[in-house]
Amino acid sequence: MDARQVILTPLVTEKSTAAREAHNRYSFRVPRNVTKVQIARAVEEIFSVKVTAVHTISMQGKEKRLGRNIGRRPSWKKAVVTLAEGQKVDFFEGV
Amino acid sequence: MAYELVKEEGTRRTIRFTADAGDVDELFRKIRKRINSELRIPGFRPGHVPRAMLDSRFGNLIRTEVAEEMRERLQNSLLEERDWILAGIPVPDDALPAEGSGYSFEITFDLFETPEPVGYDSFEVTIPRLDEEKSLEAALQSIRERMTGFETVDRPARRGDMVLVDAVGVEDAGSREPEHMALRLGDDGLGAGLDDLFVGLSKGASFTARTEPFDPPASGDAPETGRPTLFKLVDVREPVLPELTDELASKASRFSTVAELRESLRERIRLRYESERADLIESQVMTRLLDRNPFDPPAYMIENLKGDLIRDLEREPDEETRAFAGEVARRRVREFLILRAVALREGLEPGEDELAEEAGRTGSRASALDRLRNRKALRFLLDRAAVTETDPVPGESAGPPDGKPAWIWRRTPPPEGGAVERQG
Repeated sequence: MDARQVILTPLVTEKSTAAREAHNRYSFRVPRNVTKVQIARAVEEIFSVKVTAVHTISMQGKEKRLGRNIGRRPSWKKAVVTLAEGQKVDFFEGV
Repeated sequence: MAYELVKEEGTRRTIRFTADAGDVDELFRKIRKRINSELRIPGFRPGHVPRAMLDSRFGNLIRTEVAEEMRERLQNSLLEERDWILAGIPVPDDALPAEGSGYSFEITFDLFETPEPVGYDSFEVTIPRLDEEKSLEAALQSIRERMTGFETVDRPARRGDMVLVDAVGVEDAGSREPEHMALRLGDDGLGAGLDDLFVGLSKGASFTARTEPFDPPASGDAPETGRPTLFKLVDVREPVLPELTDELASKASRFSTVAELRESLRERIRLRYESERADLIESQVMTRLLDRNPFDPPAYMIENLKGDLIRDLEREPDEETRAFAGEVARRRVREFLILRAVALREGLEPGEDELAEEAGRTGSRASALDRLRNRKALRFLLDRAAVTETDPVPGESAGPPDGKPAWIWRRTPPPEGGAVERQG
């Protein structure tokens, strides 16, 4: 699988920014069927950094209501990638 | 914070302001906090956007806001001290502040100098003399008219009569109850022209009428008209002016006798005259002074005051109102500047205690100084006014409003098989 098909988008939120600053952990949105190993390789390839750990979380799609109709947004997968000390992804700096 | 004069050319002054690093940092913190709380960025709660992201995305905005606030703060404190009138908006340089260091910038001020005032040592002022007895009789007559009663009479209606009328749309006649109304003929309470249609009619008479444009359309098309209405005169009542008695005085006022009412009215007439007299003298003195001292005030002062005047209006002002506000603003600014010039020329400065008290009320020493100085200048000028009282010219009071109405009531032919017009 191509690395750019594994890493869909970076996640920049209050929580992910705090994790990045405190623990050098970067968050990404990834396809639901990729493995931690694929994620680690993809991050290393795209950003030229050393990955020390990958945690993934399956995020439940939110229930949405439109009048009397109830729907659900698609579930998705979040990956929290820990980089080796001193490594950083320039893309996130100051975003 | 400090400032120094770096350049002086004619009426142009360039001032260099310097703010301490501590004050600059404090302002950066304040502005960053405000912008952070106003931002809405997905993934972040308001006020919780990280500083690095804030600086990277909005660094220039923050620096510009800090610069503007710092400039305004320092500039205002300078103007509080210097007693300057500016000819235009001050022009700052482009320097932006940086966190952790002092901030130095220059602002160029163009000063306005009011021409030396002339012709302010004497004024001829003419005001109408108070005719106390005549004003008193007019006030009493107005009270009698307010308490007028009406009596039914068996004669054609005249102007001034009260008529009771039934009115119903011609299309609704027969299917709908008519509306009962009372009209004082001459007041044109339901629009121009209708009252005249009742004059000369007796009880029981009826006619149909509709509203039409006062001027027919120029194109020759059929004018737009109101719906025809059937009017029926139900009763004619004549006004009966009551005698001025103690009973009437107690009904119309809080006084139990005519003598007490007269005395109170006399006192109020005097007080109102005194107030109007003072306003008239002031207005005429200022008009003469401005006529003798023609000069153009700074445009921004007029625009600022004009903006203040129209800001309080309930509705969006039209062009005419804006133009009028502009004229009023221009006159007030000229009055302010010429009074200031007179005060400076005559050395009419307020005392320190007086100034401190006024500044405590207004919050600004500079505006307190202007206000007190101009008040003294006005008193100085009023003392030089020679007042002549003249008898009021008969018929000088405001007459009926000029101009014609847009719409007028006109008779229409009676509906077929409907009410037949009957002249009383």
